[in-house]
Amino acid sequence: MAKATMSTSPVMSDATLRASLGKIQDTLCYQLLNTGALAIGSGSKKKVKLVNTIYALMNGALIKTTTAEVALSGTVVNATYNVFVITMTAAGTLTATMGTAGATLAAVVFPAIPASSVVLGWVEIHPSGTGNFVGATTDLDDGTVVPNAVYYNSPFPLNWTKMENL
Amino acid sequence: MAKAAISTSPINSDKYLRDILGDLQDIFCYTCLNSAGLAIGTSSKADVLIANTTYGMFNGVLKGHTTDENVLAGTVTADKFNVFVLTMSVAGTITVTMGTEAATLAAVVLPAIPASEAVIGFVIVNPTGTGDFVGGTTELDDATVVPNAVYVNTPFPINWTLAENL
Repeated sequence: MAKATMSTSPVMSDATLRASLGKIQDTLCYQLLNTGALAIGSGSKKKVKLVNTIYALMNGALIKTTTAEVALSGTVVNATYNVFVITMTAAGTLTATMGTAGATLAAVVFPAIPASSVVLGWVEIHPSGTGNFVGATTDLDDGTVVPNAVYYNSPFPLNWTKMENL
Repeated sequence: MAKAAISTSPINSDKYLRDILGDLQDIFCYTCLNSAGLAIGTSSKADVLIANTTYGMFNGVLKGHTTDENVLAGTVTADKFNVFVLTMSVAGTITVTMGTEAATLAAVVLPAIPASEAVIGFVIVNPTGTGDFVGGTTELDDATVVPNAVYVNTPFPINWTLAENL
């Protein structure tokens, strides 16, 4: 979604500014440091594979996660666009969160990023063949559904949930 | 270390907020712009090689640093984890600063980043063989000490010293 406009109200302005600064601080204190090279799974082509060992800075701690495959959950209706965002907690737990589909890529609404997590990247899905893309069921290179999966990696400060809502 | 909470004290809030904004400004105004391609030294395997000509933005000044090798200083005790952080100044000078070692990677305390410098990356060292890793002496692929060196490049705004202490 688009960023919310910063309040111009003088009432409680100090508290508002402090809260906003805290969100910026979190964006800078939880960040991926190298690319995970997201790709189609090798153990299961229905999953997204984290190919590289990754390192993240999470509130002062260096967190390492080795290669893994992440299951997707949710359906992308044929001919629409959506994203599955991959995030990691300080415990190294990987989660895929689906956005809200749009008729165009630009109309996709990205999902809320879980608190205290870093964004590793996302996979864009746009089924242009026959049928819907069903997470955990459809292969990411399925010849019938044709998901047109595109993998994005985000090794830099990135938290749209906080930055769009300062 | 973990980030300090934004103060909620109303005292001197205006100056306090300005200082925070100044720190945030510095994070974005002193940044490495491309990957240094950190790797084991070729002339000396005890050194860290900057394989790529590396550019940084320093408060509006673009500065490049050509390939060279950098000496590490400090000891990492066997079985501990630590990092050697490489930073660059507007003069193109590279500084290597060791963190504080710990039993796990997540518990390592990253060193303070020198003022007005850009972080170009770091080397993680975790000797799992026999003996300590001695910076400037032990080769980064030493077969006896087994440093398990990992090289991480940071071509984006990153300054944990400022971000964690707003």
